[in-house]
Amino acid sequence: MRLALCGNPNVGKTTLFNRLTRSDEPVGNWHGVTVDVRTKKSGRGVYISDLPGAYSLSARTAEEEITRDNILFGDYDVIVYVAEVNNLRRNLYMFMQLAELNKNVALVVNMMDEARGKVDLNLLSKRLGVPVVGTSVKDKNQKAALIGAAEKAISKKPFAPDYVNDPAVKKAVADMRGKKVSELTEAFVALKIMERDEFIAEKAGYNQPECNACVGCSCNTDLPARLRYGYIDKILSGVVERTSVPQSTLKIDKVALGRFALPVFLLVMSAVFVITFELGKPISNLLSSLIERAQGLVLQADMSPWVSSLLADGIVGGVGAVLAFLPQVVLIFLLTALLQDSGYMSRVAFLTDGFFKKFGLNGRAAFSVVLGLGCSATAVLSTRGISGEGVRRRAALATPFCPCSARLAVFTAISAYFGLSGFAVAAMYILGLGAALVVLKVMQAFRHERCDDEFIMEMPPYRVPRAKRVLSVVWHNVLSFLSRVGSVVLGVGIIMWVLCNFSVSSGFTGGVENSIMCTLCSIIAPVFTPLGFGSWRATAALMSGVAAKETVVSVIGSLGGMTAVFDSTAASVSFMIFTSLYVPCVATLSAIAKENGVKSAMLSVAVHTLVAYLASFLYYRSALWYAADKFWLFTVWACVAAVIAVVAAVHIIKVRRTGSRRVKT
Amino acid sequence: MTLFDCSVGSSGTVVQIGGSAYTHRRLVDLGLTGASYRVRARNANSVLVDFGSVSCVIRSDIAANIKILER
Repeated sequence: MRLALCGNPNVGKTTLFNRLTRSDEPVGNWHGVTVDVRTKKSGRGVYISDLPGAYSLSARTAEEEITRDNILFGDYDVIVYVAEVNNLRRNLYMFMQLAELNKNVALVVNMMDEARGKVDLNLLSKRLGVPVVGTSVKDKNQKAALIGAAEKAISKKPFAPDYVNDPAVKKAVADMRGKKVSELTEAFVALKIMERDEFIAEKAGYNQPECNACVGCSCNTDLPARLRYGYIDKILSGVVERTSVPQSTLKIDKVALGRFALPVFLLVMSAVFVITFELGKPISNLLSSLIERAQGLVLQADMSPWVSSLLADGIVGGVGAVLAFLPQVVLIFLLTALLQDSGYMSRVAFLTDGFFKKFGLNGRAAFSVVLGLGCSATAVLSTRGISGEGVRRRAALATPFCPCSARLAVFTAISAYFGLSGFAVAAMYILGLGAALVVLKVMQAFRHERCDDEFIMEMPPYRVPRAKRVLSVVWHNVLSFLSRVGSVVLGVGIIMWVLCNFSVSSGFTGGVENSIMCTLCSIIAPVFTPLGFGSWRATAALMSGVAAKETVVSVIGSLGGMTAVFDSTAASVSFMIFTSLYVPCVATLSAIAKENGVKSAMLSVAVHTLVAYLASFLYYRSALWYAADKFWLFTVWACVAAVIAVVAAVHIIKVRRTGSRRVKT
Repeated sequence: MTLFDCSVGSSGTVVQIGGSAYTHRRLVDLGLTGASYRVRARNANSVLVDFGSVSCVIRSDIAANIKILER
């Protein structure tokens, strides 16, 4: 039996999928967590697919297109539609479209433990004529009930809502004059054409007349929605009590979205960073000392010099250098998971929407930016939930500027060694966000692009984060981090060790001078001399970072440590800036190529490298100047600031003049 | 009067939905035609509105196309 789980966003489909298939897919209290189809086996002969959330079978985003295509043309025996108990009216809207398709459907009413009134599921099942199952996270026997309902749905005749016999629908079917889509029912195709669904119209070969004005338009595009909601209201009468938003959510939002919205937001974000760095530091130090001890033990063991060097420097030193920052990585994953699960992340999207709009994005991009704190590749994939191709592309380009957990390891290692305060690390995040905004603004100026996304976002109620769900998200992300450490970092570590300890002419050298890596990177290194880290060691670390950013720290460790790589604190900070902004890792680039094409990935490489080079150059030159002559440094920067202020003032005056002209017309 | 003109705490019923075909379709699909509303919060750019048990963030330019009847 092939079974598809579908429904509106944020109704608990993936949580259900995880329970049914004993999986550990990421979940969250916001829409757009699932962006692709996942299929897994659940018991003998049962395959369950988890589809991304959608509000209707008229797709508006890339993830909704995936769901639509799977439902319309997928080879499933039964569709299990998941609805949320407190939003049954809106949730049943897409369910009605499945019924119009004559699909075998079973209905799961989820979150029964959160029901804010009486719900009669037996009456609902009787009226709909499909099996209905109530579920909640507390239920232990969900699987048996759900599989039973799915089997029952297959054996039952699919139900058809009465409005498919409405005279208007019958007329629309007749007007189609035999234009059909082989897999779809006539009523569904007719209703979609009435709604002016371009995808279905094209599939049916139906030429729709031009129509843009919807208010008072004779096209009557709202009729299908009116018929569906009319039918849903009839079905739900006596089944559920009308409910409203929970009082607790309203009370919290009075503070979180009211007068104190900005201070609360800044407080929450500051708390995330302070907890991550300050709480993680002592555990990180302890891990570092343990790794150093392990390295010492390996070096003392009676082994041939090259084996002991490979184990101590290539493996223990390389992998250990990254593992030492695991506490910070775990903490940042834990805190972002708590924010997501509580529902606060959606409030962040609301609060930052106006800000992001100025840069051609929308509040939905805030999800991707926060996800980017963990992993840039995941963040790029999450942009799929953003509607509007231009916005999606811009978000995918800008998101990797937000430093991921792997870059955090680099910042923490460098700042700890050179005695820089936690502010230096926080500054890298501000710099990343700033660089992203500058790039977005420049793109807007050159392409004259405006935010073409019409932002409508559902706001979930606040929920107490569930320990199991939060820990599952943290575990999932930490496992991914560790698997990269165990695969890419270990692999790159060994390759780098070979390149650093062997020379073409004399084999094992036991030292890095005259090694293959030294010869190769010495050719590229002069490019970085103006940035302060023109040594071949720093170049080697940067090159390895293209595979995975975690390897930068491990390569520095295996090349003799910080003192061998950087000759001054200014050079190390310049390196930190470059690492913060330069080309994203291979996984992120492949995610960009997958989402927006190879050209976008190449553009990303060029933009990131250019921005990183410029930022590092400006910092390092200023630092040198500051040391030599403070007066001239301040004079030059004051001139730059003045030029920026004049340009901004001219721009503002221009915008205001255009605005007032528009008002007059 | 449109949803854009409403202050925080005001409530009423949605009478008509205008705007671009894309936005119109989305709002109609969400079942907002004829729905009762209550404005929960707003910022310079968007309005947070409760439609029964569903809450939506709607951008100001879209809210300006939603005609309402205030209670």
